[in-house]
Amino acid sequence: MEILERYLYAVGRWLRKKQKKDIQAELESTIYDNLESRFGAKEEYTEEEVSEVIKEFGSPWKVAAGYTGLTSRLIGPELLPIYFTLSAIISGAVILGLLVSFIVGLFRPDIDFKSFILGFLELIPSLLVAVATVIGFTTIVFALIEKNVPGYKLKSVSRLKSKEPGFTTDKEKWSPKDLPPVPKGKQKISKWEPIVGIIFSVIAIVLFNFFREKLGIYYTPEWGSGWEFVPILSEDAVKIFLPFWNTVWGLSIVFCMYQLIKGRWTLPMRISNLIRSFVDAAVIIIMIKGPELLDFPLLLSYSKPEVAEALTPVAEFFNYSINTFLIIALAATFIGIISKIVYIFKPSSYEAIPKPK
Amino acid sequence: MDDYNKIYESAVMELRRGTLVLSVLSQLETPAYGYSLVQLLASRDLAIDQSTLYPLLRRLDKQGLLESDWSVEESRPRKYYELSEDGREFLAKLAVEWENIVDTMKNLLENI
Repeated sequence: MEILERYLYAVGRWLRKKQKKDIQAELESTIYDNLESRFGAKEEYTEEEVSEVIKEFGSPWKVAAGYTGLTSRLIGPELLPIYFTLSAIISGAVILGLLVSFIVGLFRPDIDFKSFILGFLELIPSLLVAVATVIGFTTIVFALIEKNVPGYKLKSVSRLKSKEPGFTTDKEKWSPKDLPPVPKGKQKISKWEPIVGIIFSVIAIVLFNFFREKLGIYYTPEWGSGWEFVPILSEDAVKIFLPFWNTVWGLSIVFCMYQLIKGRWTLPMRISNLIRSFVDAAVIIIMIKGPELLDFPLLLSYSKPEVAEALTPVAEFFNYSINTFLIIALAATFIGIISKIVYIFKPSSYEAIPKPK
Repeated sequence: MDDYNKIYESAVMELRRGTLVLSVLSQLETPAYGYSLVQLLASRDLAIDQSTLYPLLRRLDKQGLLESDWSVEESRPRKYYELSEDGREFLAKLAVEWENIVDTMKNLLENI
C-alpha cells in the first residue's frame, strides 16, 4: 500500500507536528472505511482502488489546508487598499527617480546614439528589478503590520469565518462602540501629506544611494559642443552622512505609512513625530560638525581655467552659506520641536486613546 | 446561463454551509466515527464532503463541543466523536436559533 503511505506523508508535510500523527492516523482509518464500503472488506486493496478513493479526497495540500484552516492571508482586506495605493506610489517614485537619473545621464560629453540605446536597454531591467524590490519590501512591511499590529492581528477565530458563517466570527465581537470618532480640525491628516513625504523620501534614497555620482553640475562650454559634467558631492563626506540620511528618510517612510493607514493624529503619532524631529536635529548637527559636503577643490580641478575662475566666487559663496543654511535648518527644526511639544500637550490635536472597557 | 447556474450553486452552497455545525452536532448524541457520520448524514439526505467534515469534527473537538477517543476494539483503530456537556448545551441553544430562522424565513417567503 505504498501509494497510501505516500499520500499520508504528503498531507503530513503541511501539518503542524503536534497534530500531524493524529490527523494522519484518522485519515488512514477513514480511507480504509471508504475502501471497505466501496470494495468490500479485504486484507489488501489494489493501487487502483486506493487511488480512486484518495483522488476523491483531493490533493494533499487541499486536505491539509482543511485541517490547518490556512485560509489566512498575508494582507487582509482592511489593509489591502492602502497596500495597493502605497505600492503604486512607491513604484511610481522609483520609476520616476530612475528615469530622471537616466535623463540626467544623457548630458554627457561622450553621449552618442549607440550609448543612448544601450543605456535605454539597461534601464528596462533595472526598472523591473527596482519595482520588484520595492514591492517586495512593501509586502513584507504590510505582512508584518497585519500579523503584529494590534487591530490588524490575524485572529484564530477569523479562520473559521470563511468556512462557517454565523458560527464565531470577528464581526460578532465588533461593536459600534469600537468606531473611532470622526477626526476634527487638527486631528485630521490629509492623504497627500504622507504620500508626498513617501515619494520624496524614496526618490532621495534612490538618488543618494545609487546615483550620487550623477549629482553635480552639468554645463556646456559652447552650445552644441556637448555637455560637461562636474561631480559636486564630496564622496568622503557622503560616506559619513549617508547612513544618517538613510535613517531620516527610512523613518520618514515608516512614519508616513503610519499616517496614511491611520488617517488621523494620535498621541503615539504626535510623540513619534517629536522623536523624529530630534533625530533630524541630531543629523543636522552631525553635518555641521562633519566634513564639507560639497567638494569644491575637486570641482575646480575638473574645470578649464577660465571656468574655474568664474566658479571660484560661487564656490566660496556656497562653502560659506552651506553651514549657514544648516544652522537655519537646525533652528527651524528646534522651532518645530517646540510646536510639536505644544501639540502633545493639546489633547484636541489628536484622537483620545479609548478607555479600556 | 452558465454564470446564472454558478451563482445559483454558490448561493445554495452558502445556505448549506450555514447549517453544517448544527447538522453535525445533532447527530452526535451517540458516538460515531468520521465515515459512519458521513453515511448517517447521507442516509438522512445530507451529502457532505468528507474533506469538509473531518476537519470540522476536529475543530469542534478542539473547541470543546465534542469529545473524542480512539477505539481499538474493532479490526482497526477508529476515532469516535461524541457531544460533550458543553456541546449538548450549545446544540440546544443553536437549535432554538434555528427555529427562529425557520420562522423568520417562513414569514418572509409567505407571499412567494
